[in-house]
Amino acid sequence: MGSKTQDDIEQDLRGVIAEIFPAQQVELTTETPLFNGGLSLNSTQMIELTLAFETFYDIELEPEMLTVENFATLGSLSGLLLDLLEDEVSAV
Amino acid sequence: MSEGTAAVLELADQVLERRRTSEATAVVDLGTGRQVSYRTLARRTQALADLLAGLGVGRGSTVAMVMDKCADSVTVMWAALRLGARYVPVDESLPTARVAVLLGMCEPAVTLVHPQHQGLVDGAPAGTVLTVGEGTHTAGAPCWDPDTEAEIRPADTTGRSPEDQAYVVFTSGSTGAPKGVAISHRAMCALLEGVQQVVGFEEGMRYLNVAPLFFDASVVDLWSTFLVGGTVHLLPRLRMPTQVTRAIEKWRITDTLLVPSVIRMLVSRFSDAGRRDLSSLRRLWFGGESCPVSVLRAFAAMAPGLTYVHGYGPSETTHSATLFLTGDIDGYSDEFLPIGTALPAVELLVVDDELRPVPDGTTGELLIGGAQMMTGYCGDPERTAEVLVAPPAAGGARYYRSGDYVRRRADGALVFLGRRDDALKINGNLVHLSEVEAAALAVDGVTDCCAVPAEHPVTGRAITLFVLDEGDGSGPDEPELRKELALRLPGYMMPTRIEFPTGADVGLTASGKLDRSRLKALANT
Repeated sequence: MGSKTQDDIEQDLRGVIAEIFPAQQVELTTETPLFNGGLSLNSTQMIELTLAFETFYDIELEPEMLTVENFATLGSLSGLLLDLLEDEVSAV
Repeated sequence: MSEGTAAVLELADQVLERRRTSEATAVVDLGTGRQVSYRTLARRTQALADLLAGLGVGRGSTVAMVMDKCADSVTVMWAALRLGARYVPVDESLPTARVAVLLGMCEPAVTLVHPQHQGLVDGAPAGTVLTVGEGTHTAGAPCWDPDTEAEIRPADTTGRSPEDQAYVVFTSGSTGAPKGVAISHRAMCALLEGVQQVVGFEEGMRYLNVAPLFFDASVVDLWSTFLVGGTVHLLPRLRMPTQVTRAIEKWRITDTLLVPSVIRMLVSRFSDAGRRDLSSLRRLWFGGESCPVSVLRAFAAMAPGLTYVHGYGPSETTHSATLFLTGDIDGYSDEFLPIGTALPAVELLVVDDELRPVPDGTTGELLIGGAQMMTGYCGDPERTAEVLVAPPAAGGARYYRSGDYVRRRADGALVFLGRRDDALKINGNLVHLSEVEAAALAVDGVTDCCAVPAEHPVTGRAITLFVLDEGDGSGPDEPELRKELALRLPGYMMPTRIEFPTGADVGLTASGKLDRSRLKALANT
């Protein structure tokens, strides 16, 4: 688990998103915006997404990390998670 | 009426006219960080008003807006009002079919559209489509450069009347279609002056606007701020609680209005509110739906010393009909705060089913009359006549039937008790469950359905939809149904859960039909 690449995490996230938003038809590339013009998630859905990947990775995000910058695209979100997962491994 | 202003307000745009030479900042666009002074806003408004007049916009016209919220939105509103036209903000996240329905109801002469939303108005009854911004439009199509300024000329108010309509907002209808609520200058001015009298916003306040502009909660955010020469900070569409807390800290916000679902989010573990400096905040206005006192207490722990303003009112009576102010959240043992007492220009009656007043302390339906009452529903005199009633005891005066059950306490404050119909509030939006059901029934293969309210861990409330097909598997599956519903309904009306009860499911009657009363009872346990 500790050796996941950013691509692996993006793939994980695609699976999580497909599961919690089954009607989602948008193709998710690294640059697809999670807000406007892409997935167009609203504030409630952003929290549902957060809960879902927190459960998936068994982590808990600090509230300061829930920013529009970190959640802008699949790429920015996977980058954030990569850092978090690496920190977790090195702390053990 | 209000002290400190030269004359009684009769036209809403006078609020901005009075400040047209002020160098104070009127608008901060939090999306871009750009700041616009009252004077620059006035010069841009003059330029746009000249452009719109050339396209035939005048008294009685409609100017629709299919735009992301930004400082330019305020220019459009002011320019429309200045010409005697009404402005109509349209939710730019709606499905195309619904945008066409809304535009058809209000019949705009001109629709201003951001290039990214052009597809929403193509083929819709939008009048002349004016693209906002330069360089992105097709050659020859009319466009408006929002930074264009013109020398300010005094507004020509000849022939204009306080009864002219100022804006239209859309609300959910019980018959499965949205309604356009038309609000006059008289109603809007009565609201602004009444609110100022009761709340007493300070000169130069710094207001954070979170509500979308197509949601009439934003009317006080903008226009009360302009009334006291303050600065309104426009937050782009809310995605994260940190947007609110960062904005309050960075811009030293003094006042804001939040719907309870956002306050819930701010006190949840997804919010950094407890670690931000919120000390500039003086007042928290909440409305749209009831907010549990426990949630307010949790907020008060992070931002002590606030005045809380609980606003209540249907869109049909202009933003707020009653207010309840308190600085003492700890002093309440009830689950919810009262909705308070009438604004100065509002008349209230609590009545029985025959519209006869009931004694204080007895439950009845709230009727709302006075200067803040809407002109009517756009293009729908029949439904207007259904809801604007003349109770026998009122001497011919008309009142709006709110559909809300209330009770007057011994101290005169009203307590909200529930709805007469199937409506509920989701994220501050009124939703008729019958409108959700009508959208589901329009999907091929759906033979029956029932929408019921359900608890939601984040927002407090959501919708569960139960769906039946012919029983042969010919109906849509959940992804198909969601896709179809998304073409018809705004996001806040989308069911959180969709269930397909079969066989011996507790939600079915012996004959295999949906057991509506049982589903509703189960949802409420």
